[in-house]
Amino acid sequence: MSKPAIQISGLRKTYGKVVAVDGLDLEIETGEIFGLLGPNGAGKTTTIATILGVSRPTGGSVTVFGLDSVRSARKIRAMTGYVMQQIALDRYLTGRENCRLHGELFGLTGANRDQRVEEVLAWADLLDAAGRVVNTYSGGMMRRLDLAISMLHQPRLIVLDEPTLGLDIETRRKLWALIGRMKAQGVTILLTTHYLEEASRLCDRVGIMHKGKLVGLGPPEDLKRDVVGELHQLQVTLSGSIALDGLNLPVRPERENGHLVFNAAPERLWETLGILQHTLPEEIQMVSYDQPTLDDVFLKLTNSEVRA
Amino acid sequence: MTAAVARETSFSRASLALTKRWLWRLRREPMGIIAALIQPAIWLILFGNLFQNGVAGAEGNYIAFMTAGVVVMTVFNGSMSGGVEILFDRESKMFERLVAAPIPPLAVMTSRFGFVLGLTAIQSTIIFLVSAALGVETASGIGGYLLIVLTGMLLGVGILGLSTALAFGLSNHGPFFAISSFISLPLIFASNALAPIENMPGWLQTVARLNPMSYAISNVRELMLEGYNWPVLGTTVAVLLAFDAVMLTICLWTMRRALS
Repeated sequence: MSKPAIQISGLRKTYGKVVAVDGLDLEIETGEIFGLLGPNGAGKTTTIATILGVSRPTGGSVTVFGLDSVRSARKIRAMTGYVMQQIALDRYLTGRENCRLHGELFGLTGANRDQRVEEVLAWADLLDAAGRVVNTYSGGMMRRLDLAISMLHQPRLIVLDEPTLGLDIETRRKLWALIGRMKAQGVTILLTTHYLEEASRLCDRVGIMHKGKLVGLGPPEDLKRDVVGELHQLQVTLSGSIALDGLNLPVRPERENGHLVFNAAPERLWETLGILQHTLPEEIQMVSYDQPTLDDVFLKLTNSEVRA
Repeated sequence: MTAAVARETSFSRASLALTKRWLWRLRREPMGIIAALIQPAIWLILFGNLFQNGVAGAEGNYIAFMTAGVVVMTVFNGSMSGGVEILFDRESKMFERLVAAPIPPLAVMTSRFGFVLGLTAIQSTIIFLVSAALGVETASGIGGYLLIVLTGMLLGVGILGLSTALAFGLSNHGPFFAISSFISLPLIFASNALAPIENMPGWLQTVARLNPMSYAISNVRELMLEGYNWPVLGTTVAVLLAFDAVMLTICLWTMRRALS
């Protein structure tokens, strides 16, 4: 079994009296897409800053591919691509010049640099726009350029901090495809996002942080099952007000806005629905079924509202 | 496709790459280049003729007297506004992105210093060429010209250190421009850029003698009008080096704070 890409042991980071990260233990496997989720102020950005060696831990340790984040910060940055929440490009340079600049900052020179620049521009489907000043790009193009730059030096780890924030769904889907291609190339990806559907779709595993601690960890499907497994929901709308007392339903409903709402494990809900369809076939007007989402997991573990 | 070797980028290579960035941007702003290069010459012609007969104590050719002031003011203005690009980078998060590369963060600062000081050296040369075209002869010759550029650089490092400290210390560019404007005019007028110190009121003479610009201007003026004056040159270099040391210390402190 290969060594973890990132190993965080007892990480603690304080700013004065404020505890940003409080004893975090986490391992991120090589080649996986790991989602770090949590409400604002949960400690995600501080954790990223310590991984990149930009911020020193108050306690504990972080290693990236076996390198200590304090002693080998620049070496870690040399093998890491970083896409920040805010698009950070020189808008007065062309797309190609931005790539060349960052290529040189990552030690690429001459023909090797130029070849990599053209490769990543093609990878991000930006070759046609590469000679244009970035100021003329759409938000989606800028984000694609951002991702392309993060791939220039062929990093082993890419940290994506809210990469799709504020983008329309079509652009988000394009970026998801690019992230999928990064993974296919063997890159380990650490992703933070407020779009839980995105985390659910992209991530092999997610960790949910709350008040500086890890409160949930695992594959999205496992977390849904383990944390909110009993919360599948069946909604049934009946015509008129019909008494259900004599039906002997396995799940007792709650009445909400004229609907019957049943919360239970899937098999008990299907049994309930079967009885209703058998005894009240004419009265059923509408049936809907909701599976638990990562949003439910998030809400249950953090007791907070999901912020878009 | 992942890289096998993690390599840090050296200070010199990072500084060179970041300096190229400023040159690429400059190339894209032809009007800015023209304005930056022509403005000092216009100052020289306009003010030199305007005050030709109006400033007591400026004996002889006032354009020759004022060339020193214009050189130093040009360095001062270029350096004072030179740090703002770092503040723009901080506002746009570009700075954060740059220091997430495997480079020494100091390279971001040194590239800016190199670019701004190089540009002001070119501006100073143009001022000399214009003043020569207007009949001004430099008493100390080509060697003096080099010492004048060096004096400008020494002053520029300190002023740019102040400007960069503001860029790292402030969170947005509004206060930067307010503070730099507030500092600039008093420093120019409380110096011997436009008139000799002896002609000023007593309190202003004291301020002018504490102003590093005055030392730079005195040295440049000596080299322009009189020739080599080693005591003045020595004092100027000592004062400006001390000024640079203080400003760079403050600048590095604010940069470390911004990074943390």
